[in-house]
Amino acid sequence: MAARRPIMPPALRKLALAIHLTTSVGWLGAVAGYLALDVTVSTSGDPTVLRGAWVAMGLIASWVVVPLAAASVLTGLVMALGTKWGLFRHWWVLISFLLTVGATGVLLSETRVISDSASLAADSSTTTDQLLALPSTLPHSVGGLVVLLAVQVLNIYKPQGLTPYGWRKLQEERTRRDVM
Amino acid sequence: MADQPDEPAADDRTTVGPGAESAPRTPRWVIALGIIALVLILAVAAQFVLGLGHGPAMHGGADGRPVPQIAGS
Repeated sequence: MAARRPIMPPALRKLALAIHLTTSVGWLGAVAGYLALDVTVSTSGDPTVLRGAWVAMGLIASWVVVPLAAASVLTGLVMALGTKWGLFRHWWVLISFLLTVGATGVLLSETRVISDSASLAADSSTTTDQLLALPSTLPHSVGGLVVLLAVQVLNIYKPQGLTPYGWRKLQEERTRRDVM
Repeated sequence: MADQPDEPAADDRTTVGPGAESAPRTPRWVIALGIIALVLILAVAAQFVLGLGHGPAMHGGADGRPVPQIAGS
C-alpha cells in the first residue's frame, strides 16, 4: 500500500493558513505600492522625484516583495502538502502554485535590475538624462499584479476540477474504503 | 474565506458525475488559462527569436534615449 501523506492537525492547519494568507495578501499589497512608484518613475520628469522613487522601489523590492514572495511560495507548499487538497490533485491548487512560482521567478530576475537602478539613482553624480533613461519595470509590475490577483481569485473561489492524478488517487481511496 | 472549506469534502467528486467511472474532462477554465499561458510564452519566445531580448532593459527610456550603463551588469 502506498504511504499516506501526513495531514496537519486542525490547529496547526489554521496557523499555517493564517501565515499563508498574510504573506500572500501582503505580497499583493506590496506590489500595489511598488506599482504606484513605478508609474511615478514612468511619468515624472522631476529628477528629485525620480531619485526618491527609484530608491524606494529598490528597498520595497528587496526587503518587502521578495521576502513575502518566498514566504508565500513556501507556506503555499506547506498548505498543499499538509492538507487533503494536495499539490497535484486539484487544478486550482496546481495552477495557483505554478503561477506563484512563475511570478517569483520573474521577480527574482527583476530584483537585480531594480537594485542597480536604485543605486544609480542614489548616486548624486547620475545626471537627469541618465535617470530618465533608466529601464522601466512597469510592464512586469502590472503583469505581476494581474497574476497575483488571478491566484487570489483561484484561492477564494476554489473552482472545481480534479486533475487526472487527483482522480486516480480518489479512485484508490474509494477502493480502499470499500475493501475495509 | 470563512464560508470556504479548509479542505475538500471527504467524497469530493468535483467534475466527476454521479456514478462516473471514467476520468473527468479538463475544465473549460483550465483550458482557457492554458491557452492564455501558451500565447504569453510564445510572445516572449518570439521576442528572443527576433533578437529583441526580454526584460526591463528592452523597454528603455521613455523617449528612446540609450539606457545608462549599470555597474556590474
